Amino acid sequence: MKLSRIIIAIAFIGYIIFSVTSCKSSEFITSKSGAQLWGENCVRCHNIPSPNIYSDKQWELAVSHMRLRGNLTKVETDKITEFLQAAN
Amino acid sequence: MKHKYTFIIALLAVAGFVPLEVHAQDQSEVNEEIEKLKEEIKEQNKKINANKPGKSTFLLTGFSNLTYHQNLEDTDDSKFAHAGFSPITIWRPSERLMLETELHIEMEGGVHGGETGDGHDGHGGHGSENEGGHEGSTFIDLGYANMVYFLNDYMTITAGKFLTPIGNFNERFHPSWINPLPTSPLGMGHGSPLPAAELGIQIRGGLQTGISKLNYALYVSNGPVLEDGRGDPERAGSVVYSNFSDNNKNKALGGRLGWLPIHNSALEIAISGQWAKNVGDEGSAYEKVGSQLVAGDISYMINSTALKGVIRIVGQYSKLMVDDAQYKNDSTDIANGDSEFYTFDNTSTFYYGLISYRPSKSGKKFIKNLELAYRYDFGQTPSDSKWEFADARSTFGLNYWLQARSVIKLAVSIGELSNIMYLQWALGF
Ligand code: HEC
Repeated sequence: MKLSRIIIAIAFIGYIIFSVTSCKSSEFITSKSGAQLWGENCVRCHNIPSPNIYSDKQWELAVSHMRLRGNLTKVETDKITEFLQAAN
Repeated sequence: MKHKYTFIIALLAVAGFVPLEVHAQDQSEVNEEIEKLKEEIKEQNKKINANKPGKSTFLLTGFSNLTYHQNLEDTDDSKFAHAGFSPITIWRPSERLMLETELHIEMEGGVHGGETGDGHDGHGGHGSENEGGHEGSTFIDLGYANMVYFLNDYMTITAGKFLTPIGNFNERFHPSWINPLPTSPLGMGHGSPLPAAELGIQIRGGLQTGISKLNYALYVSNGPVLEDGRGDPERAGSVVYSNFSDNNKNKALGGRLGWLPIHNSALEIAISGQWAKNVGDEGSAYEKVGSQLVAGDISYMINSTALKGVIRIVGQYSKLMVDDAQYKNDSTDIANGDSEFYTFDNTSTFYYGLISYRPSKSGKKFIKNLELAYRYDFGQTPSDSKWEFADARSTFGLNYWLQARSVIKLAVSIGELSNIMYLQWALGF
């Protein structure tokens, strides 16, 4: 398989995913609070560290890291970060 | 009269000028004072700016562990078998950009004849584990070093050495403060037959689809390299993923698709795989040998008031298939009557299932921090290969959580090859 074909395949799949998601916005997540999203998502892989372990800035980084690791959406990431910054 | 006027004028003049004089003197003092303050503010600002975090932010985290190992059949075989320190840095120069790195610094205890590895790597067909004993050693290895760009709400692009999103253990459960048992499942973990991290580019993300969620990861990497036996005849037919000097032009294509069907994200079911058309050295007889890796994984969490705690069920099934090829026997084997070439069905299978229970809703602090875990794992490499390996283990664990990221684990692993007791302290920092 040539690299160019792989890149085209990835771009194509990416395009499909993008077009599917851009029409259906994530209303379901939007209706959940940051605390709830935190309680549901951050326990999936490990024990949930207490909000007070990090400062506001540090939580921005840690939750971005988890956005990558756990494939979280931006809405989830932002709401969870806000919750942690209020609760720390 | 004249004098009188002169006197009044003089008086007025004095009355007018003297305060003016004083006023002027005050003003210059005030000005001086203001200049001084301005200087001071400038100095203070300089100091404040020196400590101002700016847009770019940085986080140092990571984990470490110390593992003690006692072979239950051989009382002499007891030692601190493994110490690991894995610092992680996360740097975010701007809102969309991030750099994640993980370093593994590990110390392995010496191996007495014929032991099959422990702790950090889920053995099974890897390296020199079945050798007749060697001294302890220290490894330093890059776990990952990955540049990340959050492109939009649903897509993130990464480039560098990333954790391979095949199955769930290597990407999600490998840190010792996350894995509820002191050992990795057979075939998994850092430095084991299944890929832990690879060099390449990746796109990934998650999206809401009604009440369920989907997530995906797709990547192109250098892919595995076939050990064709010319370097090490004992490893002929095995593939190695820690491949930074790609041995051919073909890249591997891989990915994972996960589905979280329940509204509270408690269940995830995923399939993943990696295809590499050519894994042999370019120009060699093995050039056209390809490899396929397929995996399925599941994780489920039950938060139950009736059971006063949390039950977690996780598992992964993975199968690695390398196209058949003819490998050369070494000269002593040939002299002993073996044919010059041999081949075998090059399929390896690794899986595990783990259940753990933590009575986190118990009223008693001591009980709340306890955790029970059980894992069954299985690993088998091709039976006619020179790196044949097969084991199935049952591991029972009892943990005490000191903090959310600090745990003491006691576990007994009953395997077909050995029975070992482990004691581990793991700490996320
Ligand atoms: C897909 C599994 C997964 C999910 C979901 C997840 N984590 Fe993690 N988390 C990990 C792993 C794996 C690590 C270890 C670091 C690494 O990935 O190398 C980690 C590490 C951490 C750390 C240590 C600092 C760091 O970044 O390494 C914190 C704090 C943390 N997670 C908090 C959270 C929070 C808060 C959430 C919810 C937004 C969350 N996690 C969701 C897997 C997960």
